Amino acid sequence: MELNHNIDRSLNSIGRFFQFFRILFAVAKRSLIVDFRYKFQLVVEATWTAINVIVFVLLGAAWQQTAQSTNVPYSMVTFFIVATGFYTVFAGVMETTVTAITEENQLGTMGFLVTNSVSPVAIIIGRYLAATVRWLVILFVIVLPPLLIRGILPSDWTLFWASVLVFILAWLFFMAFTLILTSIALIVKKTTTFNRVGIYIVRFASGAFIPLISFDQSFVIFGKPLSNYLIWFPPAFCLEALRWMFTVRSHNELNCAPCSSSKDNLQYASFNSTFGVHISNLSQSDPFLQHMFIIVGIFLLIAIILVSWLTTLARKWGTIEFY
Amino acid sequence: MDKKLAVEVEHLEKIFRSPGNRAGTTILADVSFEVEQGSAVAVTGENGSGKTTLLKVLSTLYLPDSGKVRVLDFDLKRDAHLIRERISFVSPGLDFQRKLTLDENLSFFAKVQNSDKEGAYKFLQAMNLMSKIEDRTETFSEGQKAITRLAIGLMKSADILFLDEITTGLDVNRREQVINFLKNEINHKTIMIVDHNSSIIDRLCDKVLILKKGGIVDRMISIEELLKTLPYAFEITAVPRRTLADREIKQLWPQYTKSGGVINFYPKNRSEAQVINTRILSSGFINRAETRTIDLNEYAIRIASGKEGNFETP
Repeated sequence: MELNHNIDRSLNSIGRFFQFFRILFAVAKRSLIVDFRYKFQLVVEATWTAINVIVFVLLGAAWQQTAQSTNVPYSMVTFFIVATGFYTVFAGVMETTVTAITEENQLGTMGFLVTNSVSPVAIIIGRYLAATVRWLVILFVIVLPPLLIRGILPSDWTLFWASVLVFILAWLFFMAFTLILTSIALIVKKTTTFNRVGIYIVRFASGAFIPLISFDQSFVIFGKPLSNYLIWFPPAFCLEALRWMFTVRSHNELNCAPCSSSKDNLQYASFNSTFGVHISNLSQSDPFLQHMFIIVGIFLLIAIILVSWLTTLARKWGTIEFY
Repeated sequence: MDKKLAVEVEHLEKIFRSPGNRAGTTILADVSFEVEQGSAVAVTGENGSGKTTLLKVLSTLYLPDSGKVRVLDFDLKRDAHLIRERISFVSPGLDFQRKLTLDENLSFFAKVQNSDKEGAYKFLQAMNLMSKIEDRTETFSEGQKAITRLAIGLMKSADILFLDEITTGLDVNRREQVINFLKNEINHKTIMIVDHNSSIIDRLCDKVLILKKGGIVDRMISIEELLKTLPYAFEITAVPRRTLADREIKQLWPQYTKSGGVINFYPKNRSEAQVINTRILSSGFINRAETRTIDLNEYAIRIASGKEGNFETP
């Protein structure tokens, strides 16, 4: 018997489309198996997350002392969301994924992958999928129990569904951002500092370290406060929306004026008046959320085109596998 | 009837440029050749002649800077994704995830190649490596890693196999097993091989593509023709006890070369080799001597460098 010589596995365009997803999931599964074999790393990441939770809760408690009458709902609860649900997952996922190309190159696996139809886009997104699963596991084990104990969850199903949609929106944005950051390694060999700077800037701009929207009175640009611009930056919007959704007692209170029944006992202005936008309930039919999905979709498309272009350049320069 | 072409290369040029090296380093200056479907071609040449780079270009890893390259009638620049579905490239520089077991690695590549593991299992069985199927590949020896790479390459239902130094790291027995397997099991496929092992060329290939330093094709020649051009069939390396005069060496055999205190004789056939060895033994001024059959790889390189006939007139 001759080896495989009579098997025709050529694909048509539909088959090729599905094969891309098959490859994606194969890369993700491979990454997951490897990730869970580095048990010490998992322990370190879980510990880091637990420390983050403690530190941000303390920070939030301190902040709440001075946040009694503001229309910006920064409190212990909202700091808790920043430290846990949002950046535990996304910072962790980004930091895990940005080394994907570098790792494959150092292992010497890049050439084998590329000649077996695994593109750098598939490598990065596959790694991103695996990292998401890994960080969600950490989130559920380390972060969810204190959230449940404190009762910090969306208060009704509308808010829960809205928070899932916003989480997906943020996940897609960070996927695009990570694609761009990671793909630089196709051309430039040392990218650690560059990646750190990139991640830091996005975290800062989205208000993870300092609640930028609380400086509204100091930063007025063309007659509008800074928050009205920042809200169009997808991660900033997602972070703020999640804060609101985890804090208000029902979806009707997203835009009530003024609300006094938030979970942290602060008086809130409505989301729309604070950010100068027109959201309804952040469901899938909400025009603002739809605009956000279009913005993120375009960003993702640009990121994929950029990675494809860098791949071509790397094949031309030979950097696709040199290390 | 004309045979279909598996590979068509016209004036291929590959220059590695980078932001720090704008002028670039030319690896392949002007390469043109054709390979018919189903033929096995050995690519040979001196170190730095661009053999591996040529395979990497043909297997879509690198993009050519200029020239026309068609693989299985697909344009290399435009249809790289279609070519990848139909070719396999195996090289010691290409590795696999070592934290995974052998079987997990095979499963991964089977999925991304859209193939199944049976082909790989058959090869592993022939190489007696099935006992390691559940072992993590980080524990493998270099030889076992080389077998794993080949198993991944052979698993794919590829029309063309680009094999780069596949016997590197293999002991003599394993090398023989690999050559026998490829000879018996891989038929009707086009193969392009880069290997320093002469027996690979001798036993698996029907043509030799000889590259010159600087990435230029010297010639493409069939093994039959190459063997016909051979001015000798054996090479005897002798280490003298003292410095010998040319007159003394000629007494042993007139066709020889001297280099670094070592004398090489080039008999055309077995009986000439026996005569030389008898003379060496009786001469008393040769410390030790070794006889080996001609290395086709080395000979092809000598042809490319124009040194193949130099031993006639020392």
